[in-house]
Amino acid sequence: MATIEISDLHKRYGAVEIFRNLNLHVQDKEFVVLVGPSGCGKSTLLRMLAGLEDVTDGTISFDGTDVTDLKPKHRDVAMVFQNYALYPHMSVAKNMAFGLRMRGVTNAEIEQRVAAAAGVLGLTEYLERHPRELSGGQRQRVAMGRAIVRTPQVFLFDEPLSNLDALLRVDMRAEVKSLHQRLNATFVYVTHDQVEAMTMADRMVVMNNGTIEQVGAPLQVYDKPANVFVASFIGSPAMNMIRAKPSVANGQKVIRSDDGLTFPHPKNNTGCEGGLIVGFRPRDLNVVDKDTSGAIEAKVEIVEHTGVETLVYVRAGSHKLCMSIDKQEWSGLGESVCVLPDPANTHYFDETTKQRVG
Amino acid sequence: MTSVDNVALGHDAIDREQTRERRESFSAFALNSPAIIWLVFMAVIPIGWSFWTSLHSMNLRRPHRTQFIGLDNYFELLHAPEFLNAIQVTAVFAAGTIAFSLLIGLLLALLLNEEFPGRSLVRALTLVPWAMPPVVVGLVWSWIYDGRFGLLNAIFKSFGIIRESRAWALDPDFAMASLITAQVWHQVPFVTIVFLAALQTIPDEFYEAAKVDGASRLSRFFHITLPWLSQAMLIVLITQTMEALRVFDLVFVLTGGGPGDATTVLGWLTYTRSFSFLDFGRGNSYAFVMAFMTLLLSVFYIRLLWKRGEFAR
Repeated sequence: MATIEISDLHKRYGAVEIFRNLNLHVQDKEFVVLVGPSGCGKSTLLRMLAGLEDVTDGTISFDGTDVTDLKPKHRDVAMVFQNYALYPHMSVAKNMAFGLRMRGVTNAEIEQRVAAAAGVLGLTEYLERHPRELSGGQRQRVAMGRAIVRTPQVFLFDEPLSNLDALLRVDMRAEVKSLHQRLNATFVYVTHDQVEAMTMADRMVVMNNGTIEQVGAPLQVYDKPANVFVASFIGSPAMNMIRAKPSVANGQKVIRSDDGLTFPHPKNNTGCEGGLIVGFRPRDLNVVDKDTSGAIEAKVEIVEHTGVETLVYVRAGSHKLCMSIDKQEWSGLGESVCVLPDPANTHYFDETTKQRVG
Repeated sequence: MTSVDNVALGHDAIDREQTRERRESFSAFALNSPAIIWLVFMAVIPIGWSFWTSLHSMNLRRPHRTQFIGLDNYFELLHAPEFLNAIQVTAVFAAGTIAFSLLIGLLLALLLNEEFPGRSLVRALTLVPWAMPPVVVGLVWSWIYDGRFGLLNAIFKSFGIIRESRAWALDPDFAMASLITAQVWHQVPFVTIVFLAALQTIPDEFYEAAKVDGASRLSRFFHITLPWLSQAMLIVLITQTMEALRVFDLVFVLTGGGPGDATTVLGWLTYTRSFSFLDFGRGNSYAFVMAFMTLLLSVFYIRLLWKRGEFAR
């Protein structure tokens, strides 16, 4: 298995710069998920790891060996594509065996490896079928089978679950995760689905506009987002964000928005003298008594029942805030409530740099 | 409402539905009838009449001796040297044109599928020969092959390949090759366009997956491109076989079936038998054998390639 080292990576298409000075280290046997919105460059980065895209500048190394200019077949990687890329005229068995045949593996060994992979993925009874005779989930398993029979150094996944329905996606998510544990290999997985990223990754790499915004374990990224982008991208519903400035109220330092909402001043902060963005997740916004210190008066506008939780959208000043509470009936549309973000889980970002300051 | 009323109501509804369906099918038939009548007069009746004629001994030089002879014309074909020779000539012509059209068309399509400056212009120019009527193609090539002023002689002489000019289309050794070349030149654009259209539908991911799997350029061609083209290949094979078996105008202009009977293909034989010798009975039987052979080959191609094409969807 392999470590991956991406150093000072540049990628340009003509005058358009995709990456500038990208650096990333993936540890051996790690499951790293590249996550970000469409067009952020995550798939391009994955394709560069596979050798399907040229590198403009910089290096990519597997286990210390520079593979930047190597063709895909010499990199010893396997890739699972978004649309499966199963050869339609070949049976499942032949699809899975194709990479081995191209590498001159003996027929006996091919048969044995395909049978083993099919057994692991529950495809034994479908080996003679053609891709068009399979369901989406089965096709996805064949695509994974094609990757695992080769036992490569690195597995690359390019949004492999995005064509599946929601229920199947949850099942396959677990399958990919257990596959990683079974194979004990280095996985790099691309998705725009933050739930996939959160649930599967050992570490997630949040990308935006060709730059890496944050690298970290899922909970670390969720609990301590490095900047406004990560804070707003990770977590659903999105984090509430309010522009505010340091101020003084009753002799105490506070953070106050233009329309008068006040939040406690971050304790460990030294550099938030200018404009700030205060963020708190819907889960961290609570209903409180109106006597509670710092309580924000708000009016309930929308109530959404998702089944597991109830989302209450309230209007506070000029801001629309989302509050997530445990599943319960809430019929008080238009009702006035007092809410307060949990101070321990309130995030502060510099308004200019957009970076976390507290 | 009683159950009897319900039953009565049910019958009424069924009657109304049937009336509506009858009315709809009548109006559909009425609307299509001009096309149907046209088709019957222009295709069905002539074909039927032609087949009926082929069951007769009918020579317009002796019209009063016309008589019904059943399938005798067809049985006699098997022993007619002119027919057996025409079959052989047609087979050589068909094999030559199909093989070269397919090969050159595929290579051109692969080339035109790559990105290069001026690709659109080259694509448009490729189509030019196909836009020409076969008679014009024949005239163009008859000038190229001309024994005194022909371009081919000029080129070959300039390279020192030949010393004396030849009338290529009238030379027994080169007449068939000349005919095949002209036909291939005419048909290659169609083949190229069909293959090009199919090539453009191959998802890039197949090639990328194959690259990651370690497939060489040649392996990718044989394992991905070629199987994907099987349905396009089917279309090309059927149309090119039909074109080759039915060829007439090109022969008419370029070689006149000669020299001797070196380029007397079935189409030309059918024409001379019917319109030169006025033997319409035999001529029509040739035409039907030609149609039957085309049908047989098409069925063979379909059985061979259809399934592969299905998988490529």
